Amino acid sequence: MKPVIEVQNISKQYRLGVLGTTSIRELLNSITSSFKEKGAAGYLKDLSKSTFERNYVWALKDVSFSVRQGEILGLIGKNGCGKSTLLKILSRITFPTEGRAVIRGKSSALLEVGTGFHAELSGRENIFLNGAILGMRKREIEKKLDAIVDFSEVEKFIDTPIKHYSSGMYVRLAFSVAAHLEQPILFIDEVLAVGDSAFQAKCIEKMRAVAKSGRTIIFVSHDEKAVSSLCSSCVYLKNGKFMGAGPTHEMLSIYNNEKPFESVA
Amino acid sequence: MRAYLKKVYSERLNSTTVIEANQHWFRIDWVELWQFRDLIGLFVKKEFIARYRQTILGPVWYILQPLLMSGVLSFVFGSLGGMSTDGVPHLLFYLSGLVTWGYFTAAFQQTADVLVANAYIFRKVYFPRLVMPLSVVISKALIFFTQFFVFLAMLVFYKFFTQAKDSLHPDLIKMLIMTPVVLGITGLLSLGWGLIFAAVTVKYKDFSHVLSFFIQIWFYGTPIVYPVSKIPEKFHPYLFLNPLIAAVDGFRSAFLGVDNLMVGSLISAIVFSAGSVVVGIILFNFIERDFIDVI
Repeated sequence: MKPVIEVQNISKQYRLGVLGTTSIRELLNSITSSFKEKGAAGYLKDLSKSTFERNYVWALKDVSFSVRQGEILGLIGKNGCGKSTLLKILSRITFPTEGRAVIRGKSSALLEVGTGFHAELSGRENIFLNGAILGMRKREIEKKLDAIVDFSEVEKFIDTPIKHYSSGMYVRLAFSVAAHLEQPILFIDEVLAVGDSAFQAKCIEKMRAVAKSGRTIIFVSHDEKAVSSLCSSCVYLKNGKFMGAGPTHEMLSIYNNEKPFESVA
Repeated sequence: MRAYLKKVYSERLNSTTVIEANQHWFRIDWVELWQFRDLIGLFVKKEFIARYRQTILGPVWYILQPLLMSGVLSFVFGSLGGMSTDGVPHLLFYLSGLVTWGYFTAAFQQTADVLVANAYIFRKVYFPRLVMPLSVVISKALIFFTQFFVFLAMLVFYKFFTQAKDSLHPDLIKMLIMTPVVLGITGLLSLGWGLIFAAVTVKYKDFSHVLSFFIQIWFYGTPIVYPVSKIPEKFHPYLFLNPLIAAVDGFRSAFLGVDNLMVGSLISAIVFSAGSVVVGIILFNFIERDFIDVI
């Protein structure tokens, strides 16, 4: 059986400095100068290989791995190692500069809870909107509505606009929608465990249940405890490069052994 | 193109997603868009609820706004300026132009802002981004209909209860044909130009300033405060450049019986609007891929 997720030589380049503010004058200058120097043909050639190649950084460089059906894979590495970028590429929020990835089956990304919540809408209306944004059909949401409301513990206020919610109620509702997604493939970025400690425990319990339901999950977290309790295996990234993949405890120990040197550097 | 469609289709059937650095330049994943149809509906609904809540008049605003506007126009251009309305009562004449224009400008403006205004969502979750502009054009079309019915009510009033009845010659057959045609031209045009502006504004924010000028010029370039008959002869060869002229003209010809409807100009308007959608989608696709890194 083919792996559910295949990541093949994915690279992602970002431009440094103030992003996206090539001024018109700058643009015209670069066009006219390369025009003068090389003529129209030379200019077009320049354009195709990006005339503005100045300060770029590779957030990810040549990363490949695959994830089997039912595997809970953790992505580990310190801040800025490219974990989140990789998750963004897999969830199609941005595109890779090079390489490709194949995802076999429906997927959904949880990079944040409550995406698209609108303050003027009631809790119920927001469940529908948020659920649909995450890829659920209206029918599915209707079926799960009771479970979602029940889990969130905000039944009493479900028809109140959420601008009147406390921040705790807000995140509980947001997590509840996310927790009831049914996609067989999930990309999760440290969104679990919101609200007060009682609700956090409930969240983690729910995550465990999800993890055991046979779905394929890629999970990004700084919390080593969460990673080691949820993930069977891990991919270790460092400065955008693939450092290795294997059972969680092995990868965590490699990661931890390297840590002191990194903090000195 | 066919091979490409076949590939997309087979991928969709096993719901396989292929993420690649290079993507087809005219990529619309219709199957995926269809799967997200509920989301389009929910965005449309949100648009209405979010606007009404905590207003006393609620949806009445959609009706009041063009009425007040045509009142102002009647005063400024009709009473003060003495502008011709081809013998049609002022209020009715301006309202007939404003109904179409109102749809265009509302849908155009909001579509042009769709990437910047919703970046906070696009940053965190993927759904076909065309869902947003489509829901804008649909929700504004619903508003168009509320205003359209106000216009119809006024038309009935003027036709049967005032002395202006002889200057009005509504044509039922033309009405039935023109309503979808006008709606189509205006919807496509606002979608197309909206997508074009949405794409270029991501790269150069300057275009958000250009937009309001652009709309103002477009307003005066469209026969809303004046009849088509007042456009000087020498401009006639260029009128096809603004599909809204044909749309407003066609609308008035059907509902008021003034201005002369030209089938040729309507056809070129449809072609032009559809063309703007094609250009818009190409630009939008090009920018949409990684606009989140730029914005």
